[in-house]
Amino acid sequence: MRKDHKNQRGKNLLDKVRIEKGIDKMRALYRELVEQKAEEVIDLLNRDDLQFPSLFVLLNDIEKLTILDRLNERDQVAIEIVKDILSRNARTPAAPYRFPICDHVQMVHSVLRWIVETGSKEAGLGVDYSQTLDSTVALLIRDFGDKTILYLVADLIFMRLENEMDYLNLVWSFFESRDPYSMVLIADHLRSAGKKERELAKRLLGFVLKDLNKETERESQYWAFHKWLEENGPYLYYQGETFDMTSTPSPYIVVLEGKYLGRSVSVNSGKIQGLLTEDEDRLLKEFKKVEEDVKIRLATYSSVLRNQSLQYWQAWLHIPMTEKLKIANLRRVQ
Amino acid sequence: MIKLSGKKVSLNDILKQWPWGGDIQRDIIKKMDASNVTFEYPSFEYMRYEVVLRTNIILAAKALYKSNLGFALFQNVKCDTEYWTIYTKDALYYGGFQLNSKYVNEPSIAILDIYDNGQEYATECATAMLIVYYRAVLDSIGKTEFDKLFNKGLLLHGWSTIPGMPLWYVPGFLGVKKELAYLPGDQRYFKNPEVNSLTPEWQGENVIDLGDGTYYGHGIGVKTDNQIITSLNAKRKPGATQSAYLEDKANRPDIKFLSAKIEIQDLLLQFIRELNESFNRFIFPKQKLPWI
Repeated sequence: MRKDHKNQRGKNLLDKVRIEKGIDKMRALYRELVEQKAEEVIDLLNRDDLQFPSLFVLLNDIEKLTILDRLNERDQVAIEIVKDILSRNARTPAAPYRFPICDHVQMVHSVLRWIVETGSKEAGLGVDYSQTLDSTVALLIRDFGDKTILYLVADLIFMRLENEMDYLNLVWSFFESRDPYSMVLIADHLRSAGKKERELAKRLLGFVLKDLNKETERESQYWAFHKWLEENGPYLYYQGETFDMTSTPSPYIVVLEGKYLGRSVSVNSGKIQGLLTEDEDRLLKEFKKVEEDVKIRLATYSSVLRNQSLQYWQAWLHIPMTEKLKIANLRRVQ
Repeated sequence: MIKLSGKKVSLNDILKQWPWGGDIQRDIIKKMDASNVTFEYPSFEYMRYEVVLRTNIILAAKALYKSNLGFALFQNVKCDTEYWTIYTKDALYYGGFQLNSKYVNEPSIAILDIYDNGQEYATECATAMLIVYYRAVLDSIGKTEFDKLFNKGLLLHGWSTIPGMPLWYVPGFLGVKKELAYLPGDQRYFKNPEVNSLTPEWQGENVIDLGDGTYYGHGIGVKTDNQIITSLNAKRKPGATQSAYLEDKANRPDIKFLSAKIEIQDLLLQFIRELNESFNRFIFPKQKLPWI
C-alpha cells in the first residue's frame, strides 16, 4: 500500500543510510533488501518521502535487477529524464512521444503558452473552450511556474466578468502563482470606471482592503493598496486560502517576524530567508513572546522607522522591549 | 475547561443541569471540559445555545448525507425550480440556488425541501455546508423565527452570501480562522495543495466534524480524516509528493456576535420555552426548567 509521509524528509530508510553512512552502505542495503525483501525495497523507492539523490545513486542497480516496471510513475519518469539528459548526442524519443522526454516537456510548455497567448482574447466559444483555457492557465501557472502569462489571466478574469461567465478557476490559478506583486494587475481595476469591475477587484483584494476601509475613493483605494504592498510585499506568505474555503479568503498573510527584523520571507514557507545572526535570533525570541496585537504594532513601526532612518531603527531595535513598545505606541503609525 | 459568568464549573455540575439532549451534546460538553482551552460564557443559557446549535449542525450534516443530494460543479448544478432558481448573472455567485420570490417569507420550506427531495438537487461541497448551517439554525430557533430572520431572500452559493448581506447574517458564523481547540460541529477544511491542475474541484474538501472521529464532506461522504486524505491524495497531480492535510482552522458559531445582532435573548427564551414544553411533555411532566 502506498504511504504518504508529509514533512518527513530524510526519514526514508534509503535516504537515512545514504546521509548518515554514505552511498556505498546504501547500495549494499539496497542489494541485501532486493534479495531478501524485494517488496520492502520497492515500497521504499515508491514512497513520497524518497529523495532524488538516492534514486540517482541506485539507477544502475535498478536497471540491472529489472524492477523498473514496479516503480511508481515519479521514479520511472525521473529515470527517463536522467537518461535523456545524460545521453547527450544519442538522445532518443521517449515512448509514446515523438521527442526525447526533456524536449517533450518543453514542447508541451510552448504549446500551452501558445494556447493562452493567442486564445485569451476570445470569449464566446462556449463552455468547453472556457474550460480548456482554465485548465491550460492552471497547468502553466501551477505546474510550469510560468508567471509571464499573469497579465493575460488578469485581463481574462475581467473579460469573463463582463460577459457573465465563470472565472473562479482562473482566480484560483492566478493566486496559485504565489507572486504577491502580481496583485497590482488586479489593483489596476480598483480605479476602473466600471462599477462591476471595481467591485470584483475589491472582492479579490478584500483581505488587504478590509484594513484600508477608510479609503473609499477609487484613487485612494488604489494607492492605499500600493502603499500596503510596498510595505508588506517582502514579508508575504502564500497560505492558499481560496473561495472554496471561505467567502473572504486571505491568500497571503504578513509574516510579522520578517517585517519586524526587515528580513524577507519565503512566499512558499513563510520562513525568513537566509540565516539569522545571533543578534537577530535574540530579537526574534523576544518578539515572539508578545501578544499578536503588540506584534503588529511593533512590526509596523519597525518597518516605517527602517525606511526613515537605518541608524535610528537599529538604535530602537536594541532598546528594552518595554521602551521599544512605548515609542511605537507614542508614534503610532496608521 | 468551562467558565460560566467568570467562574470555573465542573463537568458534573453541568451535566446535572443537562437532563435533555443525547450523547452528542454530552460529548461536546465533555470535550470542552477536557480541553486546555477555556470556554467562557456569560451564562449557562449561552453555553446551552452553542451546544444545541453544534448538535444541530451535526444532525443536519448526517441528514444531508442521507438525503441523496447529488454532487455537481457550479456549471452543472440542479435544483427544484419550484423553490429555487439557478443563478447565472455574476460568476461570483454562478450556479448558486436563489430562493424564488414566492417563498421569500417562508424560506424554511425551501431549505427543508432540499433534505426531503435531495435527489432533485446537486451542488458542490461549500454550498452543502451552507445548507447544513441553515438547517441547523432552523432546527435551533424554529420555523417562525427562522422565516422572520431570513425574509430578505436566500442565495446558496459556496461561501458567498447575498450581495450586500454580510456572512454573519446567514447563520452567525465567524468565518474560517485558527482556533486553539476544535469541537464537534466545527466546519473544517482538508486542503490538497498538489491537486491535479485539471481537477481544481479537488483542491480541498469542506467538512463538518461529527465528533466521533468522522467528518461529513459533500461528495466524499462520512469518513475518517485518514480516509478523506487518501481520497484527496488520489486526486493529486502525477508525481506529487505533498499529502493532503487537515487545515488548522475552523468556521464556528459566534454566539457573542450573534447575540448582539439578532437579539439572542428573545430567541433563547422562545427556544427554552419550546424545549420546556417538550421536556414537560415527554420527560419529566411535573418539572420546569429552573430559569424559566
